[in-house]
Amino acid sequence: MVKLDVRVLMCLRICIVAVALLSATTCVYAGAYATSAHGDPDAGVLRSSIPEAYIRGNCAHCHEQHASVGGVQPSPANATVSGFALFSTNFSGRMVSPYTQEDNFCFQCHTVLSSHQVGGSILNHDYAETFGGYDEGTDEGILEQFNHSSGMENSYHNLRDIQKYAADNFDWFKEDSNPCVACHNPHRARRNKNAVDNPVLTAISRPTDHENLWGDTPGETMAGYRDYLPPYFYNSVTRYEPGGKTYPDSNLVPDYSTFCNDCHAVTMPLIYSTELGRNLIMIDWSSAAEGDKHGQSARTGETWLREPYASGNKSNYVLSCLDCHEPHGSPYPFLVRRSINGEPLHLTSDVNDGRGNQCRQCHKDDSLLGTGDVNDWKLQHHGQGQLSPYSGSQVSGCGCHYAEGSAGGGGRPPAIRCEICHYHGSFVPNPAGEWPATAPLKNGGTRKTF
Amino acid sequence: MPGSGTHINGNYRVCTVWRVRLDLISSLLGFLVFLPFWIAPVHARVNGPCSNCHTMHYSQDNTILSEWDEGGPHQALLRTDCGGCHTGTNELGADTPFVMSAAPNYGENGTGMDTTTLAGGSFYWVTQPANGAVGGDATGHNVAGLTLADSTLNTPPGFDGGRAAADGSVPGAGIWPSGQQVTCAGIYGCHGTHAEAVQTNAIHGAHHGDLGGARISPGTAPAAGYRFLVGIEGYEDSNWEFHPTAEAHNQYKGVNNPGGSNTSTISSLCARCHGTYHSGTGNIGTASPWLRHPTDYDMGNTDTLSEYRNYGGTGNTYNPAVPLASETVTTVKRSVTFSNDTIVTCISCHRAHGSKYYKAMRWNYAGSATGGLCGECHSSKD
Repeated sequence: MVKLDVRVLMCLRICIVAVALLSATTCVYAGAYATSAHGDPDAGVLRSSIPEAYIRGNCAHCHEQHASVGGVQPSPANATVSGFALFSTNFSGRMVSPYTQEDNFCFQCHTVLSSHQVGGSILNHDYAETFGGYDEGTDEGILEQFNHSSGMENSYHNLRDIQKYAADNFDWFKEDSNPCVACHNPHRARRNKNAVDNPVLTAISRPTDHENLWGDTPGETMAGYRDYLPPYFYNSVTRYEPGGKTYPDSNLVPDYSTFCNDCHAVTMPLIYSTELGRNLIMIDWSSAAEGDKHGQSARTGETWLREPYASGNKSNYVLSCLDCHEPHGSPYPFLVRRSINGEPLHLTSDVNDGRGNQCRQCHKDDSLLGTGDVNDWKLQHHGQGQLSPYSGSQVSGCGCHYAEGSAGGGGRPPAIRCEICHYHGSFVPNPAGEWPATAPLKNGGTRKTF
Repeated sequence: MPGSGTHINGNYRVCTVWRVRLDLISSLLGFLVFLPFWIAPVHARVNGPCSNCHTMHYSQDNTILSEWDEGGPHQALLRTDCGGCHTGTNELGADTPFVMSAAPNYGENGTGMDTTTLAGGSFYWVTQPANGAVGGDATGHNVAGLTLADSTLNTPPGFDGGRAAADGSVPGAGIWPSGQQVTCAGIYGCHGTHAEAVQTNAIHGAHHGDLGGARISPGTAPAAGYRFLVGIEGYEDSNWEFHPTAEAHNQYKGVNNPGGSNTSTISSLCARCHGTYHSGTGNIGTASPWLRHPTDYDMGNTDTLSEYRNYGGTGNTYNPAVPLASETVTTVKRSVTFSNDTIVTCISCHRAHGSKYYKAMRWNYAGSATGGLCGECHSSKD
């Protein structure tokens, strides 16, 4: 009996070791690429023009190791070799949009027309639709988002500007790198469009940490800000972004503020915008006194908030960049989303204060306060007597409303466009600004206005 | 000795029995582990009776012996041709490297302890029908006499007029006729000089002058070149990489000069026919971002924290499944230091003769979503 037990014990030990060794040598390790969107065995890259021997997700769908496959050039056939052994030009260097499919390697597949991915189309809706649920319009592909045309000034993340800025500021980024990889690591970015409320499936990597995803661990979400509250999901006052959750959960939103500020922070070198012909205003999302109030800096006075913020029980809201902005492109100026806080903007003009509609997604205008029309903001600025920032003798004959020379309707003075005084980093009076941003406060001093 | 315990106490006796048995098992395992080193012969020049290879009259008693190839008489009074001698099943200690056989065992990547292929792989799969990423024309070189001509490729992909070997000879004298099959040796072959049309002449003296081991400054004689490859340097494993390990493998020659003109590297051999894939500016490029996958490039050029520095895992152990070349080939590298010993070559990814995988890849590249062993170097893209 004892003899049997010892032998059994030995056999067990041997079996355990054998099983362990077998497991170690046969288990399938799913690494970063294997779990990425491009390496996904069911939805990953699959170029329609190369031999079927290359299974979905394989490197050859993007990289041709010898600038050919089997001695020939699969579609898109070009006579030249391309950097990173890609099957077509990585980035053409085009200065401004509109871009063509050939301008950017990523566009070869990420477009709804003539995509080289099997099926000929890849749908990638904008943030407002994918995460915010705004399903009006046809904003369906990445290329298309960079090429918006509308009745007003469209906007997009200028790819040449990104490429140059990233090459100048991030060691890993080469002069010939694709501008898209400044924000995305194509070998790690995950497929989140079918599970938008799962930040583990994030598609972004910080420019300062290209080899890791961003947003997929607890310390990398908007929950890191005590006073963040996800906005409403489209056409709902009971559901929230991302994806229409029935409860607001900031743990589900990657910390886009930190992400975007890898480039846009006031502490970073200036960013030149080819489209605007000037340097961008750098962002201070910190709690410093000079920081933006939409960031962590302390609010001042009445904020006239709408829901869900009005009753959100937070004292000093901080926003995610993508609560208001698109990452790729927008039919509206400054990458403003097509819908914000559950409602569409429906902007038709970037003059006559059309962009005020952006503000009224979260702040009550006179119509919502029952004192005026839509996109009127008189009550907040003048209607509270001494509590108003501009009242009494300041109002009469100041000329502020005629600063841009336009006439008002119905005997009223013309509106002042919100962005004259309210923009990232703005304060009044602002010596560097134009009238009326230089208007003095009645009590003197300065006041942050964003 | 099993069963020899003298104590009555059963526990002790049983323990003694098992201890002895374990000792025996350990000894046996140790014996098996070191067996290859004890019996591995140094295969170099051919030896044995002349009649092993030659026949004076291609006739014996007015008939042809069954062990002779029926296609004779053969050049150099040989009993058979290249394929005749080099077809068979590889075994440990065998004295002939076989490049063709019936259904060899390639395992996952041709390096496992149950495999039956050598460093160059096998032409077998070229003769088999394609099945996904396995088998078919694209799994190796379509060598005349061993396989049919390639059904799609009429000339070597990337042929740019041919590049000269160390002896100045150029494949096809610079012109590759459409439909011309590659041969083992000669004008359209890999072994020997390209200046000789007759294959045996092309490798004249090689079998008798083969030295084995390190081939340094081989000059132009086929016998002096690594594996009868004119001018190519390298260290020949005594078993031609039958069951290679980090300690026992070929050491391939490379230089850190992508697109360069050095004619002694293993990649330069391939460049003679696939030159476009090895040229510098405008073809490969000279630095990242590469236009084609670089060869004759030392990964020691990369950042010390780059993904490439994970080759071989902890200790950077040499991985014979993804071989890297070195500038010096006097000895076998058991590990790499990223100092001119991590040089990417054509055969880091491909088998020169063939593998069972698409494009003669060492591993199932096409059939893997992650590229398989690409991750050995591109370690962050697993």
